[in-house]
Amino acid sequence: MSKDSFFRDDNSSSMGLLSLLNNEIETNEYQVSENTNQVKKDPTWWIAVVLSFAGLFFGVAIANTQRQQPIVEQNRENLRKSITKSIDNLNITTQNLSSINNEIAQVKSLTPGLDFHGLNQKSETDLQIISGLSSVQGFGYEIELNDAIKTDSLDIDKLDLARIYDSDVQLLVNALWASGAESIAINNRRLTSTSAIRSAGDAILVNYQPLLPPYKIAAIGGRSIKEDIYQNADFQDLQFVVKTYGLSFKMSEFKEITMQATGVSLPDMQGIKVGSRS
Amino acid sequence: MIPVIGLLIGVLVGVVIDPTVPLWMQPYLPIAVIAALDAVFGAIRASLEDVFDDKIFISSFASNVLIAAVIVFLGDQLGVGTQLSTGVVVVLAMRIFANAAAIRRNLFNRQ
Repeated sequence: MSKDSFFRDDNSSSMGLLSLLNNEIETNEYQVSENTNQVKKDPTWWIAVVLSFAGLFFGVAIANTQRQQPIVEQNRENLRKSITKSIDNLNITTQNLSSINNEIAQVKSLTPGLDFHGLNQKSETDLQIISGLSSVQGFGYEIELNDAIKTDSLDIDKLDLARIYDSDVQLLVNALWASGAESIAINNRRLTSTSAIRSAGDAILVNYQPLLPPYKIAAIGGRSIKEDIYQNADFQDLQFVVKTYGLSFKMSEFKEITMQATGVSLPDMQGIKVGSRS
Repeated sequence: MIPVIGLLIGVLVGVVIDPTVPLWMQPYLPIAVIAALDAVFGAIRASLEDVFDDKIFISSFASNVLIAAVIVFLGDQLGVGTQLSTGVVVVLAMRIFANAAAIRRNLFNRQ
């Protein structure tokens, strides 16, 4: 092993590549070979020449970077504006779609006997609520989840774990569905049968839109939710996480919660028929 | 002192003239800087060990810059230019650190 080695002798496979790299890198190639009797020459001027070239390249790189800086900043600003504009357009379109879905639901409810791909009105109404195509209002609960408050007693190792993760929200939402919730919204974003609760870095995404804590999970349903949820395994797991890491958990009762229809478009039902079990 | 003056002159010339580097040439600039630094540290080490030879120095420097540029060029053509540039920079940087360590040891031993 070379005397200039950065690494200790280690024959384990994990260090094999690094050791090989370190051993094989030839650092003395600028020296005269041992078997020749060449006269020693002063390297000062050579070093000066090479350093001048290095300085020239470095200076050119600095000048180029500085020249391009305003262009890069401008491009970044344009991209930021474009994203903001697209999000605004998306929000407006979602609102429009939501109100249209509401209107369709109202028209259908006022038209008795209207056939919807072989479903009766009751099933269709239930389907619309689950898929978020119609607005819902009624008695419900709101659960507020928040990261742990940073205190001196909180172990630093646990600090990163003492916040709400997407898996915690998933546990709570699954527990609510299982306990009879008819409709659920997280920070006013209605969940449907196709909703996704994911994470990207530190942020939690619901329907691919980032949310900020505190997470207010509203559920419309009967009083049985509160009774049944404590028996639910997912909810018990969440309770364990809340207790272990000192997360904030608050459950409140509301006489009336209103959830608007979502901007989810109707799937193309062309050619799809509801069949009967054989 | 002369090498430092050379370095400063080089930086000043580069900043003042501010030539427009073609887009295709930009990935080669950092590689050239690192290769030059590698050559300088190698030369200082060889000089301290009294084994410096100018012909070997110049030919090694030229061939290292050329090989590094060819690797980056090939990487660009194959669509993995960034990865190969990183590889070249890692290898040259390791040589720089190894030479710097040898220079440091040499200077301490002289005292």
